[in-house]
Amino acid sequence: MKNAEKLDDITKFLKEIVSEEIKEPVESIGEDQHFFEFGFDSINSLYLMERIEKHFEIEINQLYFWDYPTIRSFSEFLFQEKNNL
Amino acid sequence: MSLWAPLDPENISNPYPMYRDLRLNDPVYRASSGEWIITRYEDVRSILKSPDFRVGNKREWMDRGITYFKHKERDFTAIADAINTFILLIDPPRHTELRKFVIRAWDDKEVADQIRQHIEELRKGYFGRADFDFIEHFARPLPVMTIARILGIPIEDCQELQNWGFSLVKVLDLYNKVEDLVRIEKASSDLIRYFEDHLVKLKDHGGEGLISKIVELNKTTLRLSDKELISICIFLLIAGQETTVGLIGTGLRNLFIHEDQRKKLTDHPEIMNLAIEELLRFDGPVHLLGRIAKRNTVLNGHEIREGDTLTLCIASANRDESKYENGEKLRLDRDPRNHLAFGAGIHFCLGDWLAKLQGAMALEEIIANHPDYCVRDTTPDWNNNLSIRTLSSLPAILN
Ligand code: HEM
Repeated sequence: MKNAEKLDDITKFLKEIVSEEIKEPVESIGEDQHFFEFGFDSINSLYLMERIEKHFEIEINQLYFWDYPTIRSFSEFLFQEKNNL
Repeated sequence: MSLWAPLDPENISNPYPMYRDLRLNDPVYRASSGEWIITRYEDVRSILKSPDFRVGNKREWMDRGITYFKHKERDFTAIADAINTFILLIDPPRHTELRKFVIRAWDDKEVADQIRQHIEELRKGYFGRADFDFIEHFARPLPVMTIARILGIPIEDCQELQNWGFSLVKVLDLYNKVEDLVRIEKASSDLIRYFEDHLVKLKDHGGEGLISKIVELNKTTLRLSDKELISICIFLLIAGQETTVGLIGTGLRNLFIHEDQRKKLTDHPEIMNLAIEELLRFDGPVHLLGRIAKRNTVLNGHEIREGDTLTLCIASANRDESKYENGEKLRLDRDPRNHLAFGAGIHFCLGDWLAKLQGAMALEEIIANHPDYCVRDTTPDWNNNLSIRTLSSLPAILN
């Protein structure tokens, strides 16, 4: 397992990959907007998922985007997972 | 808490409590992802039989996925080619033509002797093995040998075909990851190449079996392209593979766990045909089918809108107590008629007779020769596929 991650870094990474994917500046990515509001669907979320899995060396599945539907809740989830909370 | 958590490890190892919760508390359940999860017998059956719902979603999804991933330097085109003429994924009127076409070409149903021969061959291989595994040495090789014989392709190719088929059938699963798509793509390319070569051989030298009959019939009827013919062949190869592995493997596990039921079968082998139906009802290999609403409809007071996705849990429907008394119990002496393990309506399984014949012969072999077989480890090890649920191994002692 990779070293513990800071919550801020996780959030930053998620914002970056979302921004890259939807081609909008990072500053415009709100932490409380739902993934589907950014235009994520069952196809491009697969790509997002792959990047998250590789970056955090973790295994997740599509349904997590519905269980943790915002960058804020997803970051908190990843934070807890990575720090064994 | 979401009632629909199919990827939760506990539900993967046993989804039936989740199905039961849904069935009793929210049988037309809207998952957070927007899809409808349908778990009661009557609802599942009526949707399968209704013209207001269609299949085909998987092909559209793959087409969109291919376009998307091309921009990420990943080419999944072979998957779309492999599945483009899967009868299962096509709607009428095209579906009606294709289904009739296959039924017409498949005129030879005398396969019991061949199955018996395959069972005998397998028996020679596993007899006395200390590391005997019901799946690896029996349930997995048998269906592919039989379908290869039916299709008219060499038995020596079975191992490869089995591996490719196993990877490709995952395409029918609900939730695939990029890494799954990579494996599915590889299997698609390999299978397409294999059947391309096979068609060339048929053209040059002629041949026997269902594929050569399909090719002949095609000349005077549908005039499908080679690409379409290959997709049909691929589907015929894989449709009955993992599914039959599941019927035999999961069946043997359930008969081991439910000792009283196994005894019924050893004492009365003549109930085998009913027993197979009950094993299919109780714990059949196909769990989930997908449909799309063609128009706005109301189901149990829920408004289903045109374009909505529905996931039909046939494995839940088959345990619905309003249809089957004590539905959660395996009872080989019940009448499990009208179970939905093979679907219902226009897509009803075309190979049900073959699956049942082969399942019965396989179980007969074990029950007659090894009535006291023991499963060495009853913690099940399920393959990574929610839609078609099969064991990856089942180590056993034959006695
Ligand atoms: C225990 C074994 C099997 C089970 C449980 C099973 C189950 C099913 C189910 C549930 C469907 C309908 C899917 C839907 O409505 O979306 C289906 C369709 C189909 N099955 Fe099977 N199957 C089995 C074995 C076989 C075998 C051995 C073959 C032979 C090649 C086969 C060929 C087909 C075909 C061609 C279809 C598509 C029919 C259509 O769309 O019109 N199946 N099967």
